[in-house]
Amino acid sequence: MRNFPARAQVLPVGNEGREHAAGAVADEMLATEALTRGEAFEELVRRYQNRIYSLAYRMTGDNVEAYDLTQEAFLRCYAALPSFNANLRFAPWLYRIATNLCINFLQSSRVRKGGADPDLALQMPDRSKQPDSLYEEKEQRQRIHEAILNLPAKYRAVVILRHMQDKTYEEIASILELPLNTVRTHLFRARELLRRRLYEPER
Amino acid sequence: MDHPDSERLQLYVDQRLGETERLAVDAHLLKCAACAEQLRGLRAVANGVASLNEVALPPEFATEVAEEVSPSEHLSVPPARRGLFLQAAICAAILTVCAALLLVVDTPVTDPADDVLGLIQILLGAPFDSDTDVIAVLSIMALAGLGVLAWLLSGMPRIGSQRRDARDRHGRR
Repeated sequence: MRNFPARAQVLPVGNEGREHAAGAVADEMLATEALTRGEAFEELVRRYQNRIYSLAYRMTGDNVEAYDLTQEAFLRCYAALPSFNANLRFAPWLYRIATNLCINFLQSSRVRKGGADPDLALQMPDRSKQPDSLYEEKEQRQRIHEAILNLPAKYRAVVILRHMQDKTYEEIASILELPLNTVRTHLFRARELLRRRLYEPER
Repeated sequence: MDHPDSERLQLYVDQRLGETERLAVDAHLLKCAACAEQLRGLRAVANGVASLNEVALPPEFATEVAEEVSPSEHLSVPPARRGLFLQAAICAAILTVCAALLLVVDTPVTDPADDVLGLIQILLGAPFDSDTDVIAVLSIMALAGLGVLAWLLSGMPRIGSQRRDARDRHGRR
């Protein structure tokens, strides 16, 4: 079994503060200041690093590749900041850069498959101390994680954006620059494939 | 109502059906076990993907990325981290230039046409009326140029190595 070299720290769902603290400077304001003020860019990276890393990790199944892709996404984001339109929202723009990178990576020949869910990998040695239901939950998450990795790249992206990152159909269409109907079709096919793989009784 | 197709059930899961359609699917689900089972599967997929935990990067990740894009950060790397080889090479270059300048001063001029310093003095104009002044100006310019070059070069190796370092640290932990 591949040893998961995770420094990936598992966070409870929703722990990252999806909503910034009240009174926090808007992302778009930080993006316009980022080229001239290093702290503004650093703050933007801090706000989104875990979300982008999670996206890359769930799409690639490899924490080292996900780290590189996350870093690359922010570097490209910085390079493209002069063309950022402050009247638009920052998050979809950043997600677009990151998902495109991940999809291109998955379509390249550099892909390594596999990788355990970090939650499961980190907790496995403690199995004897856990209630069965907790272990089963983690095992189920591992099955979902692996099932997502067996989907085509474009399906992975929509299903992760929809259910892990809570994006609407419209937001996904904007991020992936796809027509709404295409997003819908990808999402339906992805979920149907996952349902058959995970929940349909074997005949 | 006929069995709703998978797409309609998915829109139902995402609450994107109109009121009339939603009520029709509701009614169908009450009497069709197969569709109810399919719906349970789709909801389990949605909840299952949503249950995947977020994975986190260490807080210093943001600082490392910000440092990588900020030129001022490169220039302020501590001298101890700069390459020893590069520093030695730059010192050697500075010494070579100084030695060459001293040689020019000490060499007796046999032909006025060969007096390079005389020509430069003419080009630089009135404020410099002796060879020593010209050499002093040239030396300062050369040293300043080399100093800037050394400063820039000593920051450059960090650009590539910093990413490798971070990635290696990430992989090891």
